[in-house]
Amino acid sequence: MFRLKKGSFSNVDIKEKKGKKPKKTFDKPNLIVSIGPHLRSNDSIAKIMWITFSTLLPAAGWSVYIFGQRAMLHILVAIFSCMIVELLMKFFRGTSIKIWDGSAAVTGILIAFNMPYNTPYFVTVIASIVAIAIVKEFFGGLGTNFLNPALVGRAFVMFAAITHMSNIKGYMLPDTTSAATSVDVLSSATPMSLLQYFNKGTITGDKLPDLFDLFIGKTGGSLGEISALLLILGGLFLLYKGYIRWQVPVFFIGTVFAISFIYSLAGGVPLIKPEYTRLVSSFNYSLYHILGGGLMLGAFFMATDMVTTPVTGMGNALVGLGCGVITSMIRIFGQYPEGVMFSILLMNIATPLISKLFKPRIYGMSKRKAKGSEA
Amino acid sequence: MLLKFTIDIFNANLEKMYIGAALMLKLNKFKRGGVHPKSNKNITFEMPIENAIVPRIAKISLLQHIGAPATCLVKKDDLVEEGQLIGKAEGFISANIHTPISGKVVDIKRDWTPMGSLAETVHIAFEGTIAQKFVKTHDYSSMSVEELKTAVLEAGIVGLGGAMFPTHVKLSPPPDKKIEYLIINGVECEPYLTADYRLMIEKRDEIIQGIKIAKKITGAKKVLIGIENDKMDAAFHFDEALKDEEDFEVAPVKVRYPQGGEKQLIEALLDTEVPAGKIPLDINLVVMNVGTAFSIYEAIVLKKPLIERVVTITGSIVEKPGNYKVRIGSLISKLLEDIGLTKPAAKIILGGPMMGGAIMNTDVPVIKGTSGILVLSKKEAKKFADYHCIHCGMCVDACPIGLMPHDLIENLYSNKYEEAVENGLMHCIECGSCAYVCPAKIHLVQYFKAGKLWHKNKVAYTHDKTPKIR
Repeated sequence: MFRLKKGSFSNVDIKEKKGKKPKKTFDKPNLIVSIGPHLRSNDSIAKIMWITFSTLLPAAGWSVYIFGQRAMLHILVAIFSCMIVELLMKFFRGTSIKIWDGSAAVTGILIAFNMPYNTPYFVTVIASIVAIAIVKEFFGGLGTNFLNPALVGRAFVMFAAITHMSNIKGYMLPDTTSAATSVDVLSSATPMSLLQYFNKGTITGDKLPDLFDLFIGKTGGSLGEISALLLILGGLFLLYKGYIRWQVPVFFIGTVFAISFIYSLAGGVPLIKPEYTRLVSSFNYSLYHILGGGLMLGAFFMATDMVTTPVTGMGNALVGLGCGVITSMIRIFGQYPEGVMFSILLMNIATPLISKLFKPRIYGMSKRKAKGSEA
Repeated sequence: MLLKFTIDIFNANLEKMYIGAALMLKLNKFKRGGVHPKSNKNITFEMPIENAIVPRIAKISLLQHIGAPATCLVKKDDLVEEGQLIGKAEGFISANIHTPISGKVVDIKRDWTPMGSLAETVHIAFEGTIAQKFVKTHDYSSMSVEELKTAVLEAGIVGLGGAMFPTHVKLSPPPDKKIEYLIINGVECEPYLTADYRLMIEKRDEIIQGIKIAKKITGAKKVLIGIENDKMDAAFHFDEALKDEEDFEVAPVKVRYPQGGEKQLIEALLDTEVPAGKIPLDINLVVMNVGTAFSIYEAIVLKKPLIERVVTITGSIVEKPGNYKVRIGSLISKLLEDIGLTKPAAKIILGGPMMGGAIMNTDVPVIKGTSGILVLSKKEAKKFADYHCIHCGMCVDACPIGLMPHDLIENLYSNKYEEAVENGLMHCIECGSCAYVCPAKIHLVQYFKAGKLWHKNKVAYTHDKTPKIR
């Protein structure tokens, strides 16, 4: 501890000591000057992104456990190609390089999560290029993309490389590298396509997978979507940290549950098991809808993406509602077994309008009348 | 042994705990937004108010309030006496300025104010001794409302919470107004600052007398004293003295920044809002800081003008942090030299860390609105670079006014000032909640201040010649 010498702190005295007048009065004591607030919270973009990334890791680990080495390679390929594409795009655009903020890594892991495990790796690379280069960087980088990059990447390869991305027959190559893998998981159709067959009456209810298996993730599907349990845990952690809003998952999952429950209750589908009453059967049918497919992944990690969702709670509730309605409609009445991706992309497009709709009321104003108001 | 000790403490505080629990259930807070930064008040929480050094040279700015600068009444080489009027209020919205020390006027020139602007400043060199001038109490019970009001005007009292609005203006409502509530703001929501808290603990009876004078002047029916619930001892302290008073109510409010904002406090206590573009007087309210109430007491009972105030001098690198009674006009450099720093300062903030201003020059004086001097070390005074806005909406959740800061900042980035004003820029109270929570560390308040300045200039001169922000 040292005590400042008298005068060492004042620029008046410095002036006298040196015997000459400084040019500006303001440049002597080397103080930082800024406009408040001088305290800032500990959150930063990089922290949010890397925490989101790490909440996805349990699901990634489960996917490696189930699908083996190919799953891990898919995830690594997706993350690295996303980061490299971002680096190249930043270089070409001449902006500062910010790949360590983790947004590219999150996009990468989400792309990998959306891939069937036997897809060739080049498809993952193409999806990454489309996601980062076209969707994100062409529109100005992080924060200005209006669609979820990972979902657009997945949508692009789903149509451009449809033979490699087939959801229905896509799980036929048994991978012997994973001991945990039963041939059943890899060779059967995904729960959502089974559910679609069930909707159409092609198969009976006893062909559907066990609900508990669906919950912990012992069924087929894309890499990351299989374990509803781990995705819910990751999502709850994000909710606890305040990085996502509760409105989106609650309304999204709730709407899907409600619509499928009502549809089944109204007699739209046959009973799952003949001994069930209509009510119990409807409840089980709704559980298949919310636990199967990409709903948990979409509701907790993709529809909640900060960049492409409205900023107010009400707006987010509307997004969740819209996503739920579109997903249910596609699943029940559409040709595709899965509708989460389309629903989120459609609601992303509607986000600017929804943001306009739900402006908060300004203090002291009677209604939402921000226009032309001057304090 | 330990158990008995615990039970003893429990029994001794049972009544307080009961009241505390009952209060917790119905604690008020403003309805939307707000943040909860780390308060850091423990540095100076227990420090009693001490006298700071008497300045050798006092620089007394003639602009220490909102409104027109005061007119200078002294010439160079004049001898002045402690408490003498040296600046006379110019017009209605203005305030008198008195000299805090006896001595000789050495210079009168334009000099820097802590706000970073230039204003006419009287430099006084200390001569003579400190006389115990203002100790005799005067009876004010026979004084009429007009006389009391004049006394407040004469003493040059301004709002000591930081806004520095002349108090006599606040206390002169139009005759047709019937003031319902007089709200005393003892919230002190800014982190680090404890000046008002110490004043409430140590000068309770004086503050209550000041409040009673203000109540008499305004004719308010009821008095509400808002205190944040991290300072419950102050609330109990006041409650003890005001038990038998029907018109007085101590109203604890929840700890939340910016609870101490005038509009937020009204929202929390009375569940009403001040209409946009109006002042609290329009809905029959007067809001006043506890420090102001204390200086009203001094002005009327002790006949002492506003020449000193309590300032919290704090920070992790301050050698003797505490609450000091500082004479207005003392130079910040001299105060810090006397109190001592353990490390070189990287940032010096006048006021609290959320709304206070950082100074470039330490040879600026303490003025009437300086509630704290906060010294940050190099480690604490982090610099942040703007990142991309990712539309997370944290600023929208934090805004106590209901603005959409991310929208405004987009307007201001592209110099669309009119659009920003349409989106409600002028309603911003610059509390800094949005910038505090922003994960992208965007300097939101800086842009908002620039945008507001642009709009004010445009309204004033009706031309567009202000430089673009970006």
